[in-house]
Amino acid sequence: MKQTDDAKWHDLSRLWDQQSAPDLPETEIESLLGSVRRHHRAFRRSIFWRDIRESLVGLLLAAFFSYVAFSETGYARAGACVLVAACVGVTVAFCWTRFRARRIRPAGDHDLRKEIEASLAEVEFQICLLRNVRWWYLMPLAFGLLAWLFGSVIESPTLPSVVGFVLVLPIIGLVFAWVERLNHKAIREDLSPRAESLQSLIDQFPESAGTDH
Amino acid sequence: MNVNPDQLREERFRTCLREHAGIIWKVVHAFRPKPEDERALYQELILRIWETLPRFRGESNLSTWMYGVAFRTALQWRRRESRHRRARELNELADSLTANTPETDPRIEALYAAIRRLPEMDRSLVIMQLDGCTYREMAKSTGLSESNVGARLSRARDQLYHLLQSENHETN
Repeated sequence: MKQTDDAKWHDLSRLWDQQSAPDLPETEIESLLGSVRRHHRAFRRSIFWRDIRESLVGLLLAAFFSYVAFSETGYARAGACVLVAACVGVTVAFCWTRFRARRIRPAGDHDLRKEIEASLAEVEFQICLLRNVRWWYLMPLAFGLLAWLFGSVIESPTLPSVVGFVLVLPIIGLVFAWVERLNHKAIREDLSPRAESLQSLIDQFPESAGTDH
Repeated sequence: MNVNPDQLREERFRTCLREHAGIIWKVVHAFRPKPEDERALYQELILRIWETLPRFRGESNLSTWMYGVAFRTALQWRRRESRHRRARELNELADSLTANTPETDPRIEALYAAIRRLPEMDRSLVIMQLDGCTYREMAKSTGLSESNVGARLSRARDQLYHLLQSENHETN
């Protein structure tokens, strides 16, 4: 029986060896090298500018509301200060999550299992971030914004400012609910299925993997 | 003498393509979800090899390392993400790769079809064994222990024979 299996495998191996894998001429290799080099530079540049853009928006908002805080008085100033703190806090949280995401991936020659586990850890971290977007992103900004608007109304309690405040509340609520919904949709449609497929790959490894070598 | 890391990376990349292009081609063929995904997966594999080359520390052979990169890229590859991330990728890259695809023997095509029906991990092991890798190399690349590699391969081979046999019956 063993002999039969070995013979079958030998036949398959011979068949496998008969296939002619593509042979890349030197000129093609050089042109590919040029392409990947260009692509890699462009990709790194786009990641760098994305990080700068996201951080800059938070810092610009913080600078703008700092200016507002200086020009306001009393409760409005206190509210604007809360908003500045929220903008800075959210920007720091953004930078920290990017830093943390990069640290999850191990350096060096790693085996399939470790790489898949690292990918799963990254995806789970993203899921955790998006699931809690209300607490670390939306709430601080909403609270800061409301504190500033409320402080402004208290400082000049005219009818138009009160009406404006009342009208802007549902708009803020709707925008923030929409952002939260988008994040939850991303978890449902993209991240959760991805985590499940990574988990099913990890499940293909026995528990004892790596213990006897 | 200090070696310029960029030069080293480029030299290794050339070696990957010059001596081990077959690994990429075989993994793409065994893991692509649909025939039309071949080109995109090919691109992704080439780019991933370039991106991860600085992490290669020579703890294993370049070919064993390439199997690892190719398998995990293929296993985690998603068409949508690839389209999104690589939207502006140069078309010439995929064109030059697919233009070199050789004619395939129908028996080899049937073998690939059977391999594609194996569980992902078994697919990786079967390809490596068909390419003549040792259990140690397979263990290093996948993270399984050598004894697990043996046990898994034995089951995978049985399943592969069974799949090939049933395909033969269907075609006859």
